[in-house]
Amino acid sequence: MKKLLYSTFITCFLVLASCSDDDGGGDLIDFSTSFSSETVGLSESETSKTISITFSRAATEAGTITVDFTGNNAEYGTDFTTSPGATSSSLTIPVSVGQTSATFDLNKLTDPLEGTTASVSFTISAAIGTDWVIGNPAASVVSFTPVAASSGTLEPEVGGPNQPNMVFLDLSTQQQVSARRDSWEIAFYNGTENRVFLNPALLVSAAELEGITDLNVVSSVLEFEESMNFYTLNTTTFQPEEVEVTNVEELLIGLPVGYSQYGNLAEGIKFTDDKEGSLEGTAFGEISTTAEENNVFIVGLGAEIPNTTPDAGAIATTGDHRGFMKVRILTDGDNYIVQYAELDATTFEEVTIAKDVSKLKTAFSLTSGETVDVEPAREAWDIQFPSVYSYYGPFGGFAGAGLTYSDYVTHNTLGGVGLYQVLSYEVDGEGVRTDYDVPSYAEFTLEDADDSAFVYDDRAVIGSDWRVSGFGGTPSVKDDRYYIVKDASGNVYKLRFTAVLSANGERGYPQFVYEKL
Amino acid sequence: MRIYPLLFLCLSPFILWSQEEVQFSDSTRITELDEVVLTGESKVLSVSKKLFRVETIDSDDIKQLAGNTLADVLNQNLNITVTPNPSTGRSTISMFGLDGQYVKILLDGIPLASDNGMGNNIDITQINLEEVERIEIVEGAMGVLYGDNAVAGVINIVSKSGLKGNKWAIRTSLQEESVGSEYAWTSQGRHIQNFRLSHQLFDATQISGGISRNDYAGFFNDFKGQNYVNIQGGTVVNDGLRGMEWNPKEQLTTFVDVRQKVGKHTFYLKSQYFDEELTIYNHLVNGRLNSNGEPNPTANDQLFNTHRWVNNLNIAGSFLGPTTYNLSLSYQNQKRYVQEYTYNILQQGIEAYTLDQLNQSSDVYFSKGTINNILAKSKRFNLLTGYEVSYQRGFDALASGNYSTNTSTNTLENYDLFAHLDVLLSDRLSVYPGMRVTNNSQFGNQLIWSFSSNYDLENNLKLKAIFGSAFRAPNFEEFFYYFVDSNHNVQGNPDLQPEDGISIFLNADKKWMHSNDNALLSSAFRSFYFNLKDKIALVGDDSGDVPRFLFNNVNKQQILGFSLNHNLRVKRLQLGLGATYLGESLTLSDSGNGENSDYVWSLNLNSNVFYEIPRWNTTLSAQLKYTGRALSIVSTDDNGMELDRTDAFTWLDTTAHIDISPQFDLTFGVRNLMDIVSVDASNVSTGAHGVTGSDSQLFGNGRSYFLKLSYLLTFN
Repeated sequence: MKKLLYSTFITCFLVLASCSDDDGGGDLIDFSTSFSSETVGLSESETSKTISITFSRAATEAGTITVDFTGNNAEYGTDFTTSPGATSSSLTIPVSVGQTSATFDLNKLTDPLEGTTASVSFTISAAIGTDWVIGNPAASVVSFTPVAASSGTLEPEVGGPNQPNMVFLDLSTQQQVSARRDSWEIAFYNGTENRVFLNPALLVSAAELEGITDLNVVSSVLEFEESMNFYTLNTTTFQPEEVEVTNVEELLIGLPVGYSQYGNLAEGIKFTDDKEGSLEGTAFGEISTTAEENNVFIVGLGAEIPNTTPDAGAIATTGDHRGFMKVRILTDGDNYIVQYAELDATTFEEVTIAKDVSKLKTAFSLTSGETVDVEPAREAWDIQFPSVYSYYGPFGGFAGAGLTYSDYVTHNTLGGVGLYQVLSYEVDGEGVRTDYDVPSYAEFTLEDADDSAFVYDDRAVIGSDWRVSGFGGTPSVKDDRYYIVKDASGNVYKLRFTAVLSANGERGYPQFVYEKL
Repeated sequence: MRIYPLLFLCLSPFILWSQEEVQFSDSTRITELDEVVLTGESKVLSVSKKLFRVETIDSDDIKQLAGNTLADVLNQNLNITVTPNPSTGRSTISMFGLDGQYVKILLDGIPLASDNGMGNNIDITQINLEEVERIEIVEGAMGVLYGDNAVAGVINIVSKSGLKGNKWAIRTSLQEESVGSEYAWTSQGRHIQNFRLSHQLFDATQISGGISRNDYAGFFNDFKGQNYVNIQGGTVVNDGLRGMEWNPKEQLTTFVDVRQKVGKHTFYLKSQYFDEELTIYNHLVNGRLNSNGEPNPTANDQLFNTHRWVNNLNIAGSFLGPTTYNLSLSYQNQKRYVQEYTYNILQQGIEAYTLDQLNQSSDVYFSKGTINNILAKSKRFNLLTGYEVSYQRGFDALASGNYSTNTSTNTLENYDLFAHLDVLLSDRLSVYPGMRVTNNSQFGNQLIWSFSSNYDLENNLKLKAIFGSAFRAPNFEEFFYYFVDSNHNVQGNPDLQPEDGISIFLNADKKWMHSNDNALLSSAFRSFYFNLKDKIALVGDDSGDVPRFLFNNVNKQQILGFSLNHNLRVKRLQLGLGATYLGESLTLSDSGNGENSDYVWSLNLNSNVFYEIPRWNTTLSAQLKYTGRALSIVSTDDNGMELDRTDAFTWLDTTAHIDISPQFDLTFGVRNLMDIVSVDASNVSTGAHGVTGSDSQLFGNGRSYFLKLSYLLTFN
């Protein structure tokens, strides 16, 4: 009987053991190292560049990577150095446990002579660790001058799920410039017209106080001589309601951008710039050369950039409201004069800002009282990732609401860049797919480009429509569309998005590819 | 003189305690006593048939269906709908259209801790049936005896009672099952192994232990698995086909129990450990290009690991003559861990772990005690009194919302006292009033009552009226949810009150016997009515500076229904037929007119056939359930009602059970013969964003085939 008992036991446990495969994802993938880019160019102003080597996964043990290099019109020690330093054209980079990439710096000591080029070719020659392998690309060429790029993969440094940065990208040189979204609130137009823009990436808003030209009379307790009438969207019933505003305090409730922001589109009342980014659509209107015609505005300073980390795939882009200030803008020849103060202050500051024709706009921080270097030169960017974007406009079936988007993309309409969207198919509400007779992205050639289709009067053609919104799920890139871009020099590119999330599923790591036609 | 047998009939077969009393006094020999105790014991843990109409799924039914989890067998119940959720892998039940939060699930009379509550809202795929003697289903509000959340009904799972006659028993079984048409030795289908060992240690001591493994490889349906990616023209095309329709899970249940008899007292200790691994494959593929400009497709998958540890101790016996007591103590612990990782599809391995944390945890201490036959000397009165105490401590990161930082630990305490009186007014008429006082640390005192009455007419006709009340305690999400940003303001409400419910059941049971043909026909007609007030809903709140959505006690719900059941037994044939016609009416706070809506009606039918072939030791069976088109009210105003709809479907299981030898038995059959995978549905109610919900509801894996081989070895 005992024998039978034992054999029953053994059979049972063999059966249990034989089937208990690990149902999880499985083993880790191989560890390989590669350069993150095959070609890198330094801009005129840059004297050093960080070159990064990415790993296929986080290192589970410490090791080293050896990188060899050869100079082309560039000699180590006289034209450039590296850090960590190199011996006999080779440098060694340590890798510690947990690292997902390694970097080294190239420091440029001299500029190449006019008309010549200089570059350094780096090659990963060894990756020393258990079963470490060298992946592709194993080589990267760093040029001392900007590289004229005809195609590439760009990863705008939006900065993750808080999307803290607005990023400007130049397709012809692959250069990107970024600034924190909260570094400025208003920007002055440097063209012939006198215009002031609000920062849509920070949810800045502005309301005009009709007939009030003295900043010092404005405070949070000011009662208006005539009441103002707006619509607001009740966010619990989702029905528009009329509101009557008789003083500043009541106005402040409906000034911040949000679904319930006050406005009346039928009468042209809105507290934001228009979505398209036109000169005519600014909330401040045209700044008059006659001082008495320029009223005081109350500016909502927008929403703080939070520093909380949301769940993978989600965003946290709008934090607490940053408060209100009173602002009046005047002109003086080719200068703007900005008068501003805290809402309840009895005195105000005044700053004169000269027009800088090399740039489209000059950004200004009301909190620091200084201009801020945000935009590159007008021809040095084609595409912008404001990342967060807000405006007051129609929403679903409602006449108006203050809307905020993330993952937003615009193009440089004021700088003469045109762009249009090519839609390859559409799926309607019933799930029926209609394919359009257009070339695929890969097949698209210069002959297919339609010069009349480029849009120069709406910067929000790409907008947030390149991805499926993450509401109630993870966002994903739409594969039904790509874009044709014509820069101010007449170069035509095709462009499509390839990622909205990092490999680890975090939002705020967009990626797109483009190719000159 | 007739009064005595009738009194006995009323009291003894259905009152556990009285029966034991008789048995204790009768039993003199220890061996006999043991058997008596064991059968008596499972009654101790049972629901009283005197007070309620109890429907039983016994071990033969479970065997016939080869049920491994509670989800496998509850499908066929007339008033229960099992709703699986493919995205979370959970299956919950609704009873009379009330969801799982209103149904309390007990293990041997003790509420089972779950990831979302105490006894209620339980994932029934996590309840293993290998050690189960029977499942008792009781419908109606039963707050007096079972406390909070026993609103729609109670499901009591009664453990197997142990050895009968032998010193050793070993039972093993293997079960192989296809998932729809998908089956492979390890990678597809469902694979179940069970092992159980019981031993009579001493004359008054029994121990058992066992293990059960349920490996469900998931259901692909039209999906293409973990390693699928569609790359076209150098980029990933997200066709949504990666992953699976139903995600795979593997469950392991182990248990040990000890039964000990000491004089007039029995001790029963049960310790059960449950472990589940659920892998959720993302349908979405992230098609980032690597630095070569080639796609490096990855997916963000999740692995949920749930542990549940249940320790129940039951002590029952008698003191002071006929007065008996029953004491239960329980400590339960439930934890859910989540791992999120980045799966590299081309390299078929993990690139990074992005999250590894405990996201739900609860510890539950529970005790319940009753004393019965306090008025033993009275012939017309009997009294049962008892207490119930529970202490829960835990947190749930999922329920409190992504945006919440308020995932800190919360505690909930309940202190209850209850009493139940039996009054025999005459030979035929008895009434049973009961009352419970609850003190809850979150919402203070509540009073629950019940009133049952039995009236026996001649000709085997019995009438029973049951009035009961119970409340549903607000859940974690309703108390603590938090989602506030520039456009949203949705918050839980710590000041919520429980939802109060009462139910009325009127039953008429009639039996006809025909002795010549060995035929028995029993019929039951029931009508029932539920009235729930202070129902919790998420409603707009304009009272503060900022409009917001807040959970509040605002709605009312009425449920009205009629059911008819017939059961016919003729020789080897058993035939069942049932129908329920159920209506629901809501009074919604935002309906404007504040009036009850019209009733919306649905029809459910079930039927089962068992046929025994003694020559082959075989039982054939077919069980069918028709779930009629289900409507639920989303909103209602003067223009009419907006309804969610789930279309009708029919579930049919057919099985054969063969006793090959005293040791071996074989069960095989077809589950879901009608090949139900999903049912058309419309869900318009998906919140403020007006996102249109899915247009179908998944119910099954399609037609599946199973084979189960069991081996029982007994020796001394």
